[in-house]
Amino acid sequence: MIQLAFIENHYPFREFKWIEEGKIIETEKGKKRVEIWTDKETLEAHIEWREKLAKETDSLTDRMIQTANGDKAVETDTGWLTLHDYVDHPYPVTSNIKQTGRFLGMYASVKMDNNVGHTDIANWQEDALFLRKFIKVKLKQKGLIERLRVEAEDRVKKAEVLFKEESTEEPASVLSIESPSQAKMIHGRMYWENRGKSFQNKYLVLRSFLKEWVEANGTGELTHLLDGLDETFSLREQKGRHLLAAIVYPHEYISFMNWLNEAGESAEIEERVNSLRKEWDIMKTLTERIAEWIREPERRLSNV
Amino acid sequence: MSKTLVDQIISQVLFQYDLRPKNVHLYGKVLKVETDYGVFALKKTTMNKEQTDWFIHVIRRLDRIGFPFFVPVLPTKYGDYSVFDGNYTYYLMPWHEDHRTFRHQVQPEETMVEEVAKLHSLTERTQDYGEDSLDESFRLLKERWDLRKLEVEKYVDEIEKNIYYSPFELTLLTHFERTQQLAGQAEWHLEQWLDLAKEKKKYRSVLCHGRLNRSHACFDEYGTAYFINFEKAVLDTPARDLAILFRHYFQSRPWDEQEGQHWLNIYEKHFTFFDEERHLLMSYLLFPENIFQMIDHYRSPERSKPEIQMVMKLERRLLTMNRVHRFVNQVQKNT
Repeated sequence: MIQLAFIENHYPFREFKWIEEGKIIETEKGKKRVEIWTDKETLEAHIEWREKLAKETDSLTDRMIQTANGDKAVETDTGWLTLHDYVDHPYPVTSNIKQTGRFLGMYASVKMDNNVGHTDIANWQEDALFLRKFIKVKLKQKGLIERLRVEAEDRVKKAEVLFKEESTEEPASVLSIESPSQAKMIHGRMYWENRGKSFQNKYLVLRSFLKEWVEANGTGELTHLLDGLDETFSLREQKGRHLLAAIVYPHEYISFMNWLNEAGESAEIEERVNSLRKEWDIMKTLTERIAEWIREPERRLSNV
Repeated sequence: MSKTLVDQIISQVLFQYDLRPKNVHLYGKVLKVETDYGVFALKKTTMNKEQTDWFIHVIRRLDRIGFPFFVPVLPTKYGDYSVFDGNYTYYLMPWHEDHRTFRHQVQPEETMVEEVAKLHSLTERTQDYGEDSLDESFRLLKERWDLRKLEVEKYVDEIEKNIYYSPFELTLLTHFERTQQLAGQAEWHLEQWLDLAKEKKKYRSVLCHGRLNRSHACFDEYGTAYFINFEKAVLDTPARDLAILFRHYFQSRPWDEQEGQHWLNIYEKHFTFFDEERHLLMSYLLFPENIFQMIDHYRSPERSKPEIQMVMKLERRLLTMNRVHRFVNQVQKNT
């Protein structure tokens, strides 16, 4: 456990008090969040990511507060400690849909100096082999899963067409997003809290954000979100096709099957199948809505 | 922009310094921000990213070389020296009250000249220059001056055709020949600079503040000046900074050639000009740009000042022009 005195010795604040031991402290300059990093490479990638996100999007984000010596992190016995602002007021994303979309586009455009994490949109070859295999376990949902498998194979083919045609874009990764609730508000402005653990292909991160968005807010205002996204991450031509490819690709099915192969006949199966069906439906809706949005006369793309 | 929105933007910027404003007062483009942790000056600028990077480089260099006469720029809690809010770039400094009266006898002009000489001396760099680049610098300035002269001559030709002259036109016509003579002398000094610089094949550059004037320095109660506003700082000949500062003094206070010589002596006590640099300074000072600017202003459709004020201002500038001429003659005699 990190001692308060340790933080006190390194950071230029006068008052320190735990609000949540090991996680949040109260200082005379507001609440600060403590993060512990066990891996230096991850820490360095996060420092670079947060600096770049702040500079390239001109937004407020939970960058590393400098120590009294001007360092971004302090070495501890177990790893490294960093300090961040703690902002708990949520940003009203649903009242600022276009702005949220614009931010999302800028977020997906941030370029790290060196690619970290998974930069590919899919494991095309591995997944193709995987999808050809029939499930061996005996389940009452076997029929449904088999139907989904056939459809998933078809989805891979469609994604392949969308993704591989005239693809000139360099694969790039950005920090994963857990939920739109990472958007907080301070002094009337969005403050982005980076909660993602890993770096992923930018289209997969957008896919995941859109999924969370639809799950929480439905598809009613999706067009506005896409309009905002398009302003900073043009969905015309290649980028639009790649986003569609990421959504069409049956990641949810592959991830479910990976779980099933490991877990076998688990008690969780019912819950997992429901969650797969839910995500499957969201992806279907998203595909339709995005394709529809792209097909609007003023945004018409070729070959979509 | 509403007050609430302005307050919100200030709070967003100050959040990055972990400061909460208690009171805010606007002084031109600078906000005086009172907080629990002291009083600060928040400057709002239109610098783009490239300009901001250069500005920060300049400030850090001043700090590194130990130049004591500038107001430092404070870093944010993340270690940045500026904050961009999507529209403007801001930077924060400790608030320095600008004193106009001092505990001892102080001449602000002398202090500024002395301190800028120290700045130049600390940042001096000598570089080898090819003849081509000297010729190019000469050509560019000469072309600009020729164009200015041509514009004004054309205007003078036009007004000479009038049967009756306005008071401004009459004043201008009376002194136009003199103005042309001084432009000619400025060109002569510029040619001297070129010839001497070519002989040396070397060129000296210093860090120039770029916009030296009284309002870009804060004086403490003991008369020490701390320069602010390094946004237009540039590596250039020391003659550039001194010409800007002298032109500012020449327009803003009564002075004579002895006093001008005195200021130049103070400067040269700390940083002596080479002969070619002195010629360049003289050429910058002699070229009657101030008079030409008055003509532009007079002709401008947006002019708001009445004729009488324009005439008085032109006369003042003509007097200054003659004083500059006497000052230059005296400098030439003394070197």
